[in-house]
Amino acid sequence: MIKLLKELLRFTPFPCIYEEIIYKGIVDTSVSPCRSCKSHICRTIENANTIEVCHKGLISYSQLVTESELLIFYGIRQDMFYTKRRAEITSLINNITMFLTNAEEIEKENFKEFRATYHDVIPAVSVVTRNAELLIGKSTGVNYTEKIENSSRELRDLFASVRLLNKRLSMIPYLLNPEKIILTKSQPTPIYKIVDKYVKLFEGYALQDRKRILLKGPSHNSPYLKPIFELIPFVLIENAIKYSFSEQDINVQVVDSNNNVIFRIESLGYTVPEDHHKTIFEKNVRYEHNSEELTSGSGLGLHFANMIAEIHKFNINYSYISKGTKDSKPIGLNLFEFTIPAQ
Amino acid sequence: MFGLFENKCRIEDLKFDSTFDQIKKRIRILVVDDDKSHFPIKAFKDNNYNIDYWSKITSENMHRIVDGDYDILILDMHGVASKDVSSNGGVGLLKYFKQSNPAIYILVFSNYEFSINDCKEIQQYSDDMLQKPVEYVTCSPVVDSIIKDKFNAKRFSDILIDYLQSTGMTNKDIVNTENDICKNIKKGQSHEIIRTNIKSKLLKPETITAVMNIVTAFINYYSAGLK
Repeated sequence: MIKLLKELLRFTPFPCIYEEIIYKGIVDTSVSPCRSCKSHICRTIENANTIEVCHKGLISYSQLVTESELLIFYGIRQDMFYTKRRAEITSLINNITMFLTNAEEIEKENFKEFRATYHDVIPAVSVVTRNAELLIGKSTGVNYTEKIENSSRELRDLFASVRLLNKRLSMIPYLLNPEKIILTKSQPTPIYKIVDKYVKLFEGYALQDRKRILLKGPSHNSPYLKPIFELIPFVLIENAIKYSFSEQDINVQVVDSNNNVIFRIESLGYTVPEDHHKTIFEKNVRYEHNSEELTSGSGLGLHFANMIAEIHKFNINYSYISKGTKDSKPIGLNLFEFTIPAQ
Repeated sequence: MFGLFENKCRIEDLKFDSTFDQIKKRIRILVVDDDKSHFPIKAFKDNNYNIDYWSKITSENMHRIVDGDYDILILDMHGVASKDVSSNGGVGLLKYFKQSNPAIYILVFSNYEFSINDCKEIQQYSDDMLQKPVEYVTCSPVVDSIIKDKFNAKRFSDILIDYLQSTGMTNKDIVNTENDICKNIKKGQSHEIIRTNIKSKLLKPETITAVMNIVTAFINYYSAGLK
């Protein structure tokens, strides 16, 4: 039910806070002082049906939505805007309550619809993949790898994008049904080779923002891992590209240490404060550098990578080396690393 | 049991030299999916894999899987079985295929979520999973590693012994049955002679079929190394 509520709050028309996470809402109705406000007075509300006015003269309104959890709408102007909106907020909360009462039924229905949509997407993507393969097949080369290498840059980029899209889509069934992961068998996994594959696949995407991905090794160990492990380097490389500054190198390292394999990815960008280091691995949570807050978002990648790591009994750690500030915000070398223990 | 194998002919001892490409051409792969675009059939064919495609399993074609016409089955779980053969799609066929053709390697090819019961069935009767959507470059290494790692005399020997043990046969009879089969294979005897020979040891027709499927799959693989 809580999962459903969190999904629902991603589409609320008003900014709100639930379990310390900020949901900006589809229309950002919060006024500008909230974005820079550090007082967090709106978060100190402890009782339901309370209206607080902060030092900036903005209203917060709280409502109990589960037995112990408060939902707080905040940053509402005190003028007539508030009076007008209060009825809407109350109505929204009533709808949420009603929604949660029928949550199970609705969830089933939504799940069915999502499943159907997802099922419709797969054939379309498969057709694109088959056609890209046909084009690659026409290139010269004695085997498929050579044919890919001998294809034009455009075709290689197209094919890489298709493969990345396929990889992303392959996450969905596991997110819907994590039990499915146990159905796949562990097999010797050449980590370096896999990371090298993703470095090449993401090359074109990174170049769009004039970033280079540099891979250092070597690693020769092939620990027994489930095929889904591949999604960890996929997510970490993609995130490094997305969240690093332009025209920067992204350094990836895969090395053996005794029988362990160490993976490390380093990129220059805004940093995440220490108190949020664990939270960034939670589902639908994203750290926003502009507001320096945790906000709701698709935020699936790190959550999923962490889930896969837990299945394989290792942790993904985040840390950073401070490099000062940019636009008054802390920046540094963001480092995600994990060690796959010897088996 | 191990002492019983002394001086006996064993399938796992039938070793031979053959290249990966020789074996690859002999390993018969069947892809069953209601949408042909899901699996890169053409790319596999272009790269010399022995691969067939069916959109559905029906009462007319099902015997080919049961009778050991294929070594690797890449099976979608939904929309692939006509109602007269399974009321639960591909999941409902896994147990039957594995019991009648124990040597077949079943790769579940699906993007669906499964019920807990289906998960159990898949875990028990399939060998691994392949997640949709796939590209040739990602699934051909999977198939290659199956061919390299799973198609060897030791695996066929283990499958035969495990299967015979599951029928309640005594260890002594198991060893003797393998010994007879092995000698016949070495002599290059026909399937009919091997079948007649094992009929005297195995009473149930379904047991004879299953053992003959293991033998057929092994001979198919073994003959890749015969000059």
